[in-house]
Amino acid sequence: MRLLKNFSIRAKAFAASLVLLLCLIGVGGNAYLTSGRTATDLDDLTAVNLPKQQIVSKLETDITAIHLKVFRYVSWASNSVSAGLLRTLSSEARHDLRVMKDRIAALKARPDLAPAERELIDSLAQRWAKYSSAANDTLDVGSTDAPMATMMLGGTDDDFAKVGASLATLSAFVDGQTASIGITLAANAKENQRILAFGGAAGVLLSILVTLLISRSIVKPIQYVTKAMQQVSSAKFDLGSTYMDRGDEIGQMVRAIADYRDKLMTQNLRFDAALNNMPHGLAMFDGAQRLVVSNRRYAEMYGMSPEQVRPGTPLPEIVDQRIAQGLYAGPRPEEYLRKQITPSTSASMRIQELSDGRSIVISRQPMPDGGWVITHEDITERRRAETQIAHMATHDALTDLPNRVMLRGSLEHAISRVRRGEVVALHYIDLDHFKAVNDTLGHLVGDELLKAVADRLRGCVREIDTVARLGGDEFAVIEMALARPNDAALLAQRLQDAVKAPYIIDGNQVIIDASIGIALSPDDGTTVEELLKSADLAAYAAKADGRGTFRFFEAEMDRRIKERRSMELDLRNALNDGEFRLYYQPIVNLQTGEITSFEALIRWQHPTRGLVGPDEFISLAEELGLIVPIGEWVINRACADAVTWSDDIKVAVNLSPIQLINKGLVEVVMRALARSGLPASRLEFEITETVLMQNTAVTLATLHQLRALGIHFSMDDFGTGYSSLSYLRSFPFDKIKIDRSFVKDISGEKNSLAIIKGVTSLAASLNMITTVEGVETAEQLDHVRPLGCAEIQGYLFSPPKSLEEISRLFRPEKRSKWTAA
Amino acid sequence: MRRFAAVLVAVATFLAVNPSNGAEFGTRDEAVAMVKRVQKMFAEAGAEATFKAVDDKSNPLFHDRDLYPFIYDLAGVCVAHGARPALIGKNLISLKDQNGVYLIQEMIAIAKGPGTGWVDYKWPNPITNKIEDKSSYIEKMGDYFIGVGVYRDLPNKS
Repeated sequence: MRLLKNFSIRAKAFAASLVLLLCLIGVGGNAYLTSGRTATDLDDLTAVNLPKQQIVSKLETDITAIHLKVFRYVSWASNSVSAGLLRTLSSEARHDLRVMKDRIAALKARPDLAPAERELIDSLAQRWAKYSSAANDTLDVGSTDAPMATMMLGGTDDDFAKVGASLATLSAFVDGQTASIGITLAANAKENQRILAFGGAAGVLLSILVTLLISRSIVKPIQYVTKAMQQVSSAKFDLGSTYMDRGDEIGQMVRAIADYRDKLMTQNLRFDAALNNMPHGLAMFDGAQRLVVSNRRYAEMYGMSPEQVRPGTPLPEIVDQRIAQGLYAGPRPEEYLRKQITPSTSASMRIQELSDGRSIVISRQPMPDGGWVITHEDITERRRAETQIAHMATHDALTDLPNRVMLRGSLEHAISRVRRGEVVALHYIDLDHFKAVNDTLGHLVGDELLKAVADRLRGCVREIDTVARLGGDEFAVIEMALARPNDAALLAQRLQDAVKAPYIIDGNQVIIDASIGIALSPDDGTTVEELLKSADLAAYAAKADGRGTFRFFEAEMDRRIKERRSMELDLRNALNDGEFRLYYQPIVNLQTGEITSFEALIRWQHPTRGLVGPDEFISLAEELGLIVPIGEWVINRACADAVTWSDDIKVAVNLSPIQLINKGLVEVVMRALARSGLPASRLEFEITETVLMQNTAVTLATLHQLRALGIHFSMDDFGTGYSSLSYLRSFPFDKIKIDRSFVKDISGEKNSLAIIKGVTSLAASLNMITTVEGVETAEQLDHVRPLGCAEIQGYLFSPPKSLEEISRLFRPEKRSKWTAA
Repeated sequence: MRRFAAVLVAVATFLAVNPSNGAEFGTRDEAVAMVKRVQKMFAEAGAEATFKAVDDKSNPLFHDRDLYPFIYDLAGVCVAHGARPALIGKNLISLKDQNGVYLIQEMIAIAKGPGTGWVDYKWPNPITNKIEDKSSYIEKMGDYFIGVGVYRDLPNKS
């Protein structure tokens, strides 16, 4: 049985066929052999015995005929029949006798004779010979002696009787042979019948047995396999291990099914995982409107329990359920259901707004069997996000005001109204010193301030107007439908007042002002670009006018801007074209009257404008980033020039805050000193407190590195701006240069004198000296002299002069004293 | 010439011994006498001459009315016949008469047995050419037997 299980079905079938074949061969072979014998017997009968019988029977007839001829001859001879007739008859009879002898000899010569038969024929031949001789004698005698021939007939007849007896015996023998063959034939036929019957029965029995065995080892497993396949196809995966270890095709089939089951299981798990983890609700209905499959999300979306979405649930039940939950918002249920039944081949999509505020995209994809797959996607969040993104694209995140993009849109709308005769004003609002707030109080406070400003601006305008934030500390207001141009001024004033009112932010009181530029349409521009530019220019003008004010756009502003632009272009080429010059103004020791140093002052030898002062281009150079290469040129030039002077005269160079932020400054300075051979102690840098206001670690480190080289530092323009003493503390200056504004009206202002005196004594206590700038008259010198300043600088002694001029100054009399003229 | 001489001798012999008694049919004695004459010639002249003489119907010595000799060998072959030359050379051992008597066989039996004797049977008469009762005297003669028979001589028979 074990073997039976492990042989392949092919081998089994082959074996069964072999068994059947052997049965057939056994039965058929036997039958064949028997029938072969029968055929031989039949041959014997037809080819041998029957002819023999015929021959023998013919012999009998012919012999009798011959004998009768002999008798007739004797009778004719006795009755004196004509000699001719007698001769004919005699020769006939003699011929017959001879022929008969031959016939018997031929019979005797047959190869198919039994020995007994041969003996019989032998005897017949002998008897015939005797008879024949007697008959011939009788005929002979008869020809001459009829009575004697008659006499002889008796003996001849005796011989004939013997021949007849012999022939009868032979005939009986042949008959007996035929009969015995017949009996054998019958017996063979019977045997054949028996073999076929028994052999056939045995074959059938054996076949049944073999079939039973095969069916036991094949049919049962196949039934099991069929059942297993049905189980697997209905997702029942517990197969067990029956037939698994069989070595034949059944085993292979069962193992293949187990394999298939495993893959299907994995696939099902994956499918379930995919289905239940997809963000969409998915349901599939069949042609009879019954639920085939759905995922968890589908049930969750409509608050349905697992029982309510069991496969097989009819669609109307699900619709009812949703109506009961108040989550159905489609067309009337009857209509909806009717539509679902209507066969459709194209996919459809619609958005349903549910009563609970959700938006659901429902996509329906029909299937060939009349069913459909439907997906439900909750796009509520997405819509919200889209709305928000759209809002963000057009609004400022911090203040929630429309941004520059939306402002342009609004402006276009406003301009379209202008074309219909309206007057529109664009207010460009720039917060003054917002950067300082940011720097001192931090970005968080800055942001809060911007929000508060935004709120106040919003409070100033009408519904039809627009407030926008352009970025940083810039805002804009579109004022629609002005009755008179002065309305714009009124609004600007209101806006400024609103901004100016103090803020309390995070416990800090903050005060800020605004510069406002106003452009009117159609007068100052009829396109968005023109209007924006005009308002910007007006704001720039307001700022230039000392901030905290508003300005209407004027054509002059435009001209100045254009001029500035052309200067920009020229400035970019000035350095390469060698248009810069250094002028030097001496600084004199008040006690000794000797020149202690020269301050290097840059001039631009403009090809068309003539000599241009630094006020007119330095801030532009700073804006354009040109200040770094220009500053480098200045340092190099100053060092190279100073080395030609007397050893104790220093050169003072102004440093822009931007230069200090630039990392390469220390290297530039070192290279300039090395190239010129000027001792570092003869180089002095003048920096304003703005440098220290941008008090970054990088700036301070740079300053300390330069100072470590031996370079001196002076605080320039002291007294303007914040003039915070903390700046003086943050870096060890060698000198304070008191701003020229204090000297300007020193004669009438007691305060100026007091400040100069205070600063001087403060400097002395901090181990610094002071330089008073801007001394132009002897009277001013007289006022300053008693205040304790170490040095003075101004036109009183010398205006800035070219290198050649100052060289001439001290060539003839080196180290000459400079005294007031 | 020779044949002529022989015939002369035979005639002369016949004439010299003619025993004719003048009756129509020969008698038993005459038959016996004829046998003796043949025996004598057989003994004197030999077989060939004897057979020739017997066959010759003109030889009166051996032909007297219905009397004539016949000679067979012991196998039944007729070697000489005084009346029916057709039989010469034939084996007549199985010859039987109308009463079923195998006459040759009986004659051979006498020749082989007693040497002399009488056999009764039916045989065609040479004169009438009818089958008649015949009694023949048989005597052994060398390797042959010789017989001469009488017709209608039934009383002699017993």
